[in-house]
Amino acid sequence: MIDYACFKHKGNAENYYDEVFVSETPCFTAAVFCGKEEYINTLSCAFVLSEILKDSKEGDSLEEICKAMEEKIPEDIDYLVLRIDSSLKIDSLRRGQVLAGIVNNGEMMILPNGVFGLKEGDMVVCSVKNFYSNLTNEGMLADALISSDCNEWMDYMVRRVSDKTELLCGNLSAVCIKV
Amino acid sequence: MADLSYLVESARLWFFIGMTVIGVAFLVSIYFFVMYILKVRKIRKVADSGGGYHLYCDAAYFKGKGKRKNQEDSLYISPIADSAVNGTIFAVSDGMGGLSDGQVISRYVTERLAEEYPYSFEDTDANAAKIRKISDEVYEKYNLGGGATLAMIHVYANAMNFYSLGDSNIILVRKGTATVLNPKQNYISFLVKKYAAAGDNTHEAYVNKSSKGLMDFVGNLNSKVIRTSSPIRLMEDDVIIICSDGVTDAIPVVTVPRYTDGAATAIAEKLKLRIRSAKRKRQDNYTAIVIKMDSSLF
Repeated sequence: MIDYACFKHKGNAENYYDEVFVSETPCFTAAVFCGKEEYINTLSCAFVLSEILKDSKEGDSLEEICKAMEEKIPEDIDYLVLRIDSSLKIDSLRRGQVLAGIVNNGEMMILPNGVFGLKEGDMVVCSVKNFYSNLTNEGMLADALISSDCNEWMDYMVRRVSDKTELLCGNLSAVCIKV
Repeated sequence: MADLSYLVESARLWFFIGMTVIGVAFLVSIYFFVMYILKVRKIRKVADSGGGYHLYCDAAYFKGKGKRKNQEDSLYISPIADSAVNGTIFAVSDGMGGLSDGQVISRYVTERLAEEYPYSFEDTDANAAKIRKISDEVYEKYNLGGGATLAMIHVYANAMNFYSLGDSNIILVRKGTATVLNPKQNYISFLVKKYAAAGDNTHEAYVNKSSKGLMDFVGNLNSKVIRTSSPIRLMEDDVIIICSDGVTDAIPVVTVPRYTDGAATAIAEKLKLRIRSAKRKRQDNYTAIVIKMDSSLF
């Protein structure tokens, strides 16, 4: 059972250009795309990407999936995709400035590209730069450790971003996950 | 004979049911025991991480009355001599302004914390329950007519748990950046959640002065005590400042790292001087405990 919470907010931008995608089948997949205003007409590309992820199978390699996605999206769109399979292995791949952090052994660490084993209770947060640049590792870590579920964790992080920006920054997109 | 065999049968049945219940209870208790051991091992792993050496707490504190009539803040530091066994507790309680007996209540809170000492480093839920009990005691006496905040940390070896009720601060300064670890339990949190969910900006949440009003504090019934479920790993040169809002009103949190060079006493001295030199017209009581994590006390 994987608990998760998403946050999508247009900030002070005219529209919401990012996209957050989560699917629990065939295996848990979460993706965050950092859109751009000039691609407003290609907003549908987020939809195309979601469809590619949805159609993927558990055995498909993330690299192949991302390759298929990259054919459909402009080069300068940043994204991060991560998948967690039934044996609690996390496979993540990111392009650009979308980052994921993992709470590990009392610390918050950046999740590198590749495959890693997770333990029950591990927590991961994935977000666009507008979101994480208004937070510190210690703040995200503390929020994770005092939360009983992902919704609570997300609420605490949003409060921190709000204290700094009143959510008057660009699009804000994040997903947090508890295994 | 028929009655006898019926009795034997029913005795067997009850014996079987009894044994099943005992068996299930045994397995459940084994499960919880194993889970507890695993949790303790995980927490000890965090506490012991640090390349085989333990960090020391270099601590100092300061307090001042500001423009108030009374000093309504109170603090508690557990016996340092026991720190190798029980860790060390550092706590600041701030009597709530505008409500009666803030001074008495904050002192009551820290005295009760001292009575409840020692605290388990592993079982943070039990410690939160102790704090909740103190809050309920204050509620019974003052019935929301008085209250206090509480910010408390428990340092053991290279790790720290924290507890909080209200809006006092636990600030961690690491590598030149200051972060307030504990969320403030005021009305702003509720408004931010509401505006964010509606897709709006949250400016309105901050402009109304009454939104700083506390939604939870020591003296509320069945308070939601903020507590870490597992510890934060501490590093050498980390500075932790536990303080009442009188400190952060005078020194913006982002500027705190400017004052965190040197030993704990030097940091405390610099912070106190900064508050005094600000000469704020409505300076609140200010109290802070400064802890610097060091690999050696010399």
